[in-house]
Amino acid sequence: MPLSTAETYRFAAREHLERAYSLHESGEYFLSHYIAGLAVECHLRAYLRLATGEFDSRHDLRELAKEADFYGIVPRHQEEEFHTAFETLNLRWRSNHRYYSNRQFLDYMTEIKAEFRQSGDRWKNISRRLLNLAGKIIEQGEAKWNSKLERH
Amino acid sequence: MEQQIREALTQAFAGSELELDTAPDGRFSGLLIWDGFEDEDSVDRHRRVKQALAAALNDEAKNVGMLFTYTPKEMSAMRAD
Repeated sequence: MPLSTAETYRFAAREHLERAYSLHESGEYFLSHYIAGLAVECHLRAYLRLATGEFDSRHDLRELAKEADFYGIVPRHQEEEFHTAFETLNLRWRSNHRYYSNRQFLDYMTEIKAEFRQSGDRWKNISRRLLNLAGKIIEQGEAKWNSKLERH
Repeated sequence: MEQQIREALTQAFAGSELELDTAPDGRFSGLLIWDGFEDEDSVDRHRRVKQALAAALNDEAKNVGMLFTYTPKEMSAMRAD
């Protein structure tokens, strides 16, 4: 099996994010949500490969980001915005959602009060929100990728 | 410094659960679980934490980086299989 490198993880993250946008456009909101979160996981794994060269089998985004020193890439003046985005994404996206039925997934979102008071299509809003958060986090990582690469 | 941060947060957020680690940049990061965050969004929670840290630590509050803020209910949902 070909070994995943920092660059292949990074490329996979971009592909997954694009796929998530397409799924959203075609009304596959649950899948779009899941794949957008997976894109963030891949992006963090790219950073982790750069930072430690290791593979961490956990899917916990908070732990991955910590191990990969991902918080350190964020300029101080953007920290607040980044922190709230990452915190919200980490709450809304869990790797075990891939085992969930639509019903279970909506129950989870209800439990955490996601898009609870918003009007309109709840599925669509949930998917759009995660896409926006994932896009923001990956964009932040992309902006710092080259400088991070030079240091390794 | 860690002890001061712990005291500041546990005083301001009575009954909370706190996990602190040192990030590679030397700042403290971690997790603050408190039921008072219920019905507050992430922005409000962070503002509240920032204010508590600034009030107790003044300039030293800059030693705290990414602190995740969740309610016990959210943590329990996140930890469920």
